[in-house]
Amino acid sequence: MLEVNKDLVKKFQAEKNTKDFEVIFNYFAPKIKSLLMRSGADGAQAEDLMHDTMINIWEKIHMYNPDKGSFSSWVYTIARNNRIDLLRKKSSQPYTDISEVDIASDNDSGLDIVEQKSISAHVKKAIELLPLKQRRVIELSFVNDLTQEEIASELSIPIGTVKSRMRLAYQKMKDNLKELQA
Amino acid sequence: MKQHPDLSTLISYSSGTLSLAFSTLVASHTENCAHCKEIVQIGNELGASMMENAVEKKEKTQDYNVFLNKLNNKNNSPEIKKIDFDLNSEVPVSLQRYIGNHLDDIQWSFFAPGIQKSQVKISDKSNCHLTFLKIKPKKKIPEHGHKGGELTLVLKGAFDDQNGTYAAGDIADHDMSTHHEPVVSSKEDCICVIATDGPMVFKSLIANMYQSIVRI
Repeated sequence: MLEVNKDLVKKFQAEKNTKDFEVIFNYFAPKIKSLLMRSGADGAQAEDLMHDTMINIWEKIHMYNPDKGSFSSWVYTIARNNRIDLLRKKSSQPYTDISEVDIASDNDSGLDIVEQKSISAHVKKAIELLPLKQRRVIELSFVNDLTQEEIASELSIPIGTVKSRMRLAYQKMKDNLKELQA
Repeated sequence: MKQHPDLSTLISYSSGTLSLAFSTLVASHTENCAHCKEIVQIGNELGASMMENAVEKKEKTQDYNVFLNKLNNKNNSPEIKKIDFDLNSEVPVSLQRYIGNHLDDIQWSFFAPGIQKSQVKISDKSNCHLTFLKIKPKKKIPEHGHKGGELTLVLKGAFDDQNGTYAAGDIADHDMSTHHEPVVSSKEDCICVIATDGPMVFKSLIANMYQSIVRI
């Protein structure tokens, strides 16, 4: 099976052909659908949202800038925004943030992004290094799509504790990432 | 920018679990804030990692040909009118779809002496709106707390409260534990936009009675 690497993404940006996109589709489609289903979408909703996300990737591929983050995080952002739009908010206007607006920005993320696979592996490792209680809060937020109030209720802890665990998890993650990337 | 959303708010923004109103204000602030952009990007990498490692059940429905048919149908359908975003506007890009590119275009109505208000519905969902306030210099919003969270993004001018000064682009992130009494500290009117999880609770009985009518 062919791999989604930065060369393939660059080639697809330049040529935009269906053959290259099939590799991207086969890699990301199951992951997006699986993530959406874990956050509460049923099969049909997840399928539709996954297709919407893949269409957005096709249409907005020229906007992806590897200096600002991994391709995977860009795909995640589009999937997340589609989820905000359709699963929970039913907005009359599609939700878009600056990362999806068709303009060039000079501001880099400030994060030193290396190879896509490498950053993904580093982040995965950094999450594993988190203390269990902090990791649980992060998982409930990112995987189960729970709000801070819902996490507080799920874990029977005050919302202030949820917030402080999130802050601590971020700081720890950032330190872990720095160490792993050094 | 000196005043930022709480770290936990930025993490929740990355995970997509903030309300649409909160997400819109965090996105508006983050557009021009390198500090928060870095935090959100690390959050996005975290989300991407969760997605990468999502437990996969091999679904048969991920048929590439089905996707290509959808893509072709979309390409053949009438194009949706694109919004012309203005990067140099005083209105953040993330807010422009709701109020346009100019603060002068906001339709204000009387709220209290020296304070004008405009509410913009941003979703079909009930109670999903943003409240814009235009406040005269030196004017105070009576001391209040909140039944939920409250984010206030300054678009023009500045205000002070117990936590410091908030100028254009700054965000005040308050939760249920916070009581504050913002006062406009700029020489010009202060225009800000507020997203709340629950209504403000004023310390004064009269202000509370008024709030039950006008609702922020």
